[in-house]
Amino acid sequence: MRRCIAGLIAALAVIGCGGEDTGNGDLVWVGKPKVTREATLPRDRVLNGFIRNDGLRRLTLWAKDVRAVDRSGEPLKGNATFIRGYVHPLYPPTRPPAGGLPDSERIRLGQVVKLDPGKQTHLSVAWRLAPGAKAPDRIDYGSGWLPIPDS
Amino acid sequence: MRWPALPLVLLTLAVLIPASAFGHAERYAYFPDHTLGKVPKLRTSGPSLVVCKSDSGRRIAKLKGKALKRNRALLQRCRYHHIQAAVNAAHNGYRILVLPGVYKEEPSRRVPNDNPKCKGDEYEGEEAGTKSYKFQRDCPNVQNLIAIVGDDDDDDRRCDDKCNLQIEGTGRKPQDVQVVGGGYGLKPGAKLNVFRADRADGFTLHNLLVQYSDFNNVYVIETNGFRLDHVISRWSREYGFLTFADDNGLYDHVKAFGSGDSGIYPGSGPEGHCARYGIEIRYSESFGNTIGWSGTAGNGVYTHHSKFHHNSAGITMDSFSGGHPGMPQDCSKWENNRIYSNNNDLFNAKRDKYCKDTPNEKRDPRKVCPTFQVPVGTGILTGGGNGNIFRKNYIYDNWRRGTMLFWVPGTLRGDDPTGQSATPSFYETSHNNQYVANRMGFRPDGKRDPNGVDFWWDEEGGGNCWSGNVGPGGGAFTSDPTPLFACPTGSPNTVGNATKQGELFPCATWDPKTNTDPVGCDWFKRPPEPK
Repeated sequence: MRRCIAGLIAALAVIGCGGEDTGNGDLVWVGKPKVTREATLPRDRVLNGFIRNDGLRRLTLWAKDVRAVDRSGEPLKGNATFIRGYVHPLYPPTRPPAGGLPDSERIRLGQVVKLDPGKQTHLSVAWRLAPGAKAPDRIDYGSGWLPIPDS
Repeated sequence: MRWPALPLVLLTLAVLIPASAFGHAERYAYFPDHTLGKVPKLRTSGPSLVVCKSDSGRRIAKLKGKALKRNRALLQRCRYHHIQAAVNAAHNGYRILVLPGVYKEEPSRRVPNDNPKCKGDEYEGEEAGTKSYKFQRDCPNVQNLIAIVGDDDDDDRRCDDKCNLQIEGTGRKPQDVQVVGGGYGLKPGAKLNVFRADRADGFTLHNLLVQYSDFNNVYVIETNGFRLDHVISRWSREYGFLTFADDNGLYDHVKAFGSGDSGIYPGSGPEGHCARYGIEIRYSESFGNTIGWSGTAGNGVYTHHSKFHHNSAGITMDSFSGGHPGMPQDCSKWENNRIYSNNNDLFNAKRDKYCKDTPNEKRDPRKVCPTFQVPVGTGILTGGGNGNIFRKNYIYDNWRRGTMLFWVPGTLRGDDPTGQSATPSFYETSHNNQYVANRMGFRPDGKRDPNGVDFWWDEEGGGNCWSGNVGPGGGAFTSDPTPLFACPTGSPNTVGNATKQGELFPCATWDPKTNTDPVGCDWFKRPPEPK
């Protein structure tokens, strides 16, 4: 919401905070994200793009909280990551260290991102459409949402 | 296609990703000075100690000829009943002759994993979950069934005692001497490693079979000169043979199967930077694993005249993780190998459920549970490698792809706290790889046996080239993209195809407990056999 307040102060003419084009919350797309589909996975879609923190405070985002949701706000089955690349955990997944993965490793794996104001990072979100279901409405990240562009 | 605002992205990533300080659950490891070591030769003379079991005589009686005569004579000299006991008594240059039998190393199994004598800061590694070298030296059997730990308390990281040990089965074949770990997980007697050679320069393991480790059946670390010769590894929770930060190594006629990760893993390989190969793998075979051969920072390895087949993926080399000195991966060579039929369906729903629901200690160790995600049906996967050469290999019947080459952003691996890796940069990987004169999609007898597609590339990187490769009957091979770039010039330095790269990202979210089939990733479904 601070992005909204900042916008008000700056422009003095803001009608609302976010909308169908920009979403709602501190994050905005940088450029247009791209949605792709693999031929072998006809019901799956993968969205890749870059997000920027346009708010005034640092955001900590967890990939597990980022989901494509339908018009009623129900999340579709899927996953998300903040990294732009394929990586592998340093610890075997069945053998995590006591106390769980350290923050640095979670960040490296794209499970979490700490995004300062004005900074940007990659976002990849995958979802699976139920048979006959319509495309999701938006990308929800807990404290806001981003629109899904027409592909 | 170039992503928007790239410079800002690079800057952002550099800020966001701190130095990664974790390895594969290992202390910081350092490469030895290769000029001070050499590959040990098999010795047939010199001081030796003999190990036997109570039934060795009965087993020896079944041998014939020279083997019978030799073993009968050795049985008279037997003074040890456990291999570790002989190691403890051995001096530099000794041979430890292990007579036919099954070696469970009960005294080692009885050493508790939480031995109070081995607690304290001096025994902890640099990061959580790792143990120091001193831990291995002072408490050799907490993690290891048989430990050869050779560096004393000086600070040179070189072998002082237990150097040039040769542990040798004396049977006619490796199966005559079986060294058996205690199993997986919390099972009483389970150990991470069956054999651990740690700063044990000149270590040789010959003519025996190893099984049932909770991590590695054979583990060689920070060792200058090793030889694994006619050794069979079967059924390990993670790795069959794992060598790490070693040099002057030889795998000769080894066979590995049934590993949850890789049969053969020469990770953090010698840093020869394409001027030399520090580890040779020859006349070996790896099958029935999740991966036949893999190596994060698998550098400077020359693999030839070997077979990698019936794994989920035949070979992977990568720059995926931090904590591995020698990043990024570079300069390995593959020549005259057969890489085929790597379609092992270990990620199906039934296996997923078994592996997820069964505690490690209750698992059937002969049932492989994957601990690493791979695209099932792939011959050779190079994820972020440079300067590798693939020449004159037969690559066939891999139902997804014969080879896969893709970029891994250097910044994702983080810094190497040991200072033995290049400073990470974003586009540092996937350059100058050569695929030359490979036979794609047909068997050595000429029979057609296609891969899904022969060569797949994400189109990132410069100097990558493909020349002289042929398909069935000497005809065309298949590729994505088409055409490919010819050697020696190869590809221009490009940032890659974003659509292809984007398909890889969801696959990184795989987790054997929580996300066995990530949405958006088709790696874990075995492709149909190509026509």
